[in-house]
Amino acid sequence: MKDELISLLPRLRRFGRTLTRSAAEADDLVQESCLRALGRAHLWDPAQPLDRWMFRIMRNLWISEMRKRKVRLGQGTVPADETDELISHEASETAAIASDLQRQINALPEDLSTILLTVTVEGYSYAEAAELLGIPTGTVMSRLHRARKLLAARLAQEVNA
Amino acid sequence: MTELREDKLSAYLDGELSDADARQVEAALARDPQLKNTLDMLTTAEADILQAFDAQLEIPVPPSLENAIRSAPEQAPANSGKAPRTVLWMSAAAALVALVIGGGGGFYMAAKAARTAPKCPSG
Repeated sequence: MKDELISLLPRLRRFGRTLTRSAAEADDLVQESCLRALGRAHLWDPAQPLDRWMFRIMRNLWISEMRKRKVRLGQGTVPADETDELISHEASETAAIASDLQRQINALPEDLSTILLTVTVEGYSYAEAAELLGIPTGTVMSRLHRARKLLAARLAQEVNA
Repeated sequence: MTELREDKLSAYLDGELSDADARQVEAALARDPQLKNTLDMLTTAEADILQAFDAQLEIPVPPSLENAIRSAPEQAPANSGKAPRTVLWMSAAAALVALVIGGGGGFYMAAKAARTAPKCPSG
């Protein structure tokens, strides 16, 4: 499983970046998810694609991480230097690589860009995406359309400018 | 003219509509040039969106991440060859032999093997 996981890393990191909006957080999430998968490799059904199993693990871990943070934020105990580090990491990596369009994708609300990645890039059907993200199929459709329309409008603006 | 929910255009692009809904979209496209425009815009944007996401795959993976995975402990995966099933098969076969040889005593073993090896074709 390790070799397969390693070959999936670019896609897992992309999914992580879309979920977390931070290159450094994405790598933490990817690493934690891979370790969890390895620790539970006996639970993986080889009939199920490993990438989709990994996306599910990542999504679940991220949600529970968000919950924990909300609790911590409520208590005001998030160390300030931790956040500084994340911001500087992100700035250096994404600025070097991202195209204008990628920046616009990054500027979308997280729920829109995640659905965009899941369906248009990773090839989930609406029903599969709805299941992965825990939202109704109709919401998949409307979010996806909003995301595409926003980006298409900006692209058209660029062309006309 | 019946109003078309515009997000059906996206679903149309993705092949997610029922035949009836797809026909409804096609009819609306035929009579509404603005809707056709929107569809063209979405289709053009799609290629750029894919390209932008694909560019992310070129970002080099940090060696520390790869090393962390390489050195992590791994549970024996369920797909480690067909060995476990073969073992079950063999124990069921052995139980069957015991059944034949041992009569009633063997029956218990065969029944037990059948319970623990539900995927075994001989049951």
